[in-house]
Amino acid sequence: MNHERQADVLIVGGGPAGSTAAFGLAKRGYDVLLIDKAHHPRETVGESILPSAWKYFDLLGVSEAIERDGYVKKAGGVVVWGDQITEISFRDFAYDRPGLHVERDALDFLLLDNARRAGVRVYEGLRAESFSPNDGGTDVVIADRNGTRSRISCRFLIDATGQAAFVARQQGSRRLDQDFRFVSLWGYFAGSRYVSSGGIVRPFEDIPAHHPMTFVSRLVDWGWLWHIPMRKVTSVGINVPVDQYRTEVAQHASIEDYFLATCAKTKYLTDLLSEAQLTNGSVRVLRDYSYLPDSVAGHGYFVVGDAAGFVDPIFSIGVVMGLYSGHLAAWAIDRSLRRADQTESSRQLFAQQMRGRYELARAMALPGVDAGPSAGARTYFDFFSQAEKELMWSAASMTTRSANLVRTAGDENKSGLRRRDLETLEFT
Amino acid sequence: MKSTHDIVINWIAGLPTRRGIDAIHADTELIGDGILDSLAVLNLVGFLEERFNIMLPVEEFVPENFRTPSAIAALANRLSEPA
Repeated sequence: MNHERQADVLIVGGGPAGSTAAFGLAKRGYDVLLIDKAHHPRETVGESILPSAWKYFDLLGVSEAIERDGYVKKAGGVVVWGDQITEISFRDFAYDRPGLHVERDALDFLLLDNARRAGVRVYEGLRAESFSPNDGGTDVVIADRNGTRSRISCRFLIDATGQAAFVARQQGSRRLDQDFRFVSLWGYFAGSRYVSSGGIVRPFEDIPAHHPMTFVSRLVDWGWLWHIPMRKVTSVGINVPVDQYRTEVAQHASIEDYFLATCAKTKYLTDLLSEAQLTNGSVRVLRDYSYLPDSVAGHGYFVVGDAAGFVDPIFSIGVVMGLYSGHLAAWAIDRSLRRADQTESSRQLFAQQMRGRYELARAMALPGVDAGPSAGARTYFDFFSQAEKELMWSAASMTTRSANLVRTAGDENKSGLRRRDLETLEFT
Repeated sequence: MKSTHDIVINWIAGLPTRRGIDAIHADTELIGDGILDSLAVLNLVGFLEERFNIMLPVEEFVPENFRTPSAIAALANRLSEPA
């Protein structure tokens, strides 16, 4: 790749945020280079997607392709939290399209391929090692699997490296949020039953006729679980504090053993899985520590997606946030390159939106701790429609985590709640 | 010459939400009703900056300035005035 030494924009990472930014910049006529350390399609977790993703899919021109792929349509969510079972349905919030449960290897590949077809030069099996800002932009040193290095010179770098957080790590500013030190542990089951509207449990084959709810439950000990039926298998995962994880794993024969034992002792989940088979070797572990970098935009760079901050993924907002941040970065870079005197304000605007996004996500997910008032979160929240606000209030109220959101975003009288309380899940 | 108001309303009527131009009034709640979301606001800023040769300072990027066509037109006019 010796001849590929320059680009208007270099994007590191080909997940949804990176591909969205790449597409937006290529469509505006810029020369865009995207590298990824992996070869797509590649496995990743985060399969539950909110209906607001469709407006981004429309912009990317991929909505028809996504519909054609026949991903599982998600009707809403059912949450068991202590003694309370609640349900929300997207159709109560003015959405005309459903959420989705997607195999992320396939969706991410589709979005990356879409960027490629828009003219983005995509190179896989390459990682970024370091970057250094200069007068004209940024130089980035990249390396292939053999360790052979090259230098790419670009006007802007976009860090879309997810939890690897390339820019923040180089700057030593990937700050861990001490309130959230969790580990995610998940696996894929064949033949799991699933929860549909009204809390009615159905066999896997009924999915096309009765769209599933994402099922979330608190665990017996600290932590929570997800249950996400997809086209062939169901993703089941638990999210537990790291100390608890270490203690428990030490008391079991293996990580898989601990995972299955936790599933077996969790009410309802154990019944959903009673006739299901764990796919061999499918159990994965990820440190789900929440963090925030000091800077998400600086001279010659923007940071998008999970690299720009990550919180406990309980509300399925990660992919939509990533799509938004990719779109926002493309907008800010275009605005900067068209008029140099707008560079500073574009950077500030991007940073303000991203900070608001992180603080809002944190306010929603923070368990029982006062997140404190946040003007940034409030400004970000007030760009949402009434229906979207009501969805967020309702979703937050399904766990014991709504206090911070109400404090941050109003609705003290809870007039916007649209949720149903269920007595029990009904196994037919 | 078209007023700032008409230019704003025309632009909004062209959004993918496909509300006819007759449904967009000076005081239509654009953000609350989901006509103008955070993505469309970015495109609108780009349009206004180009059309009126203005620059939006970051502190003006707040929901109140984009709530209704009147608020948007007032913002564009305010930023167009010579300092």
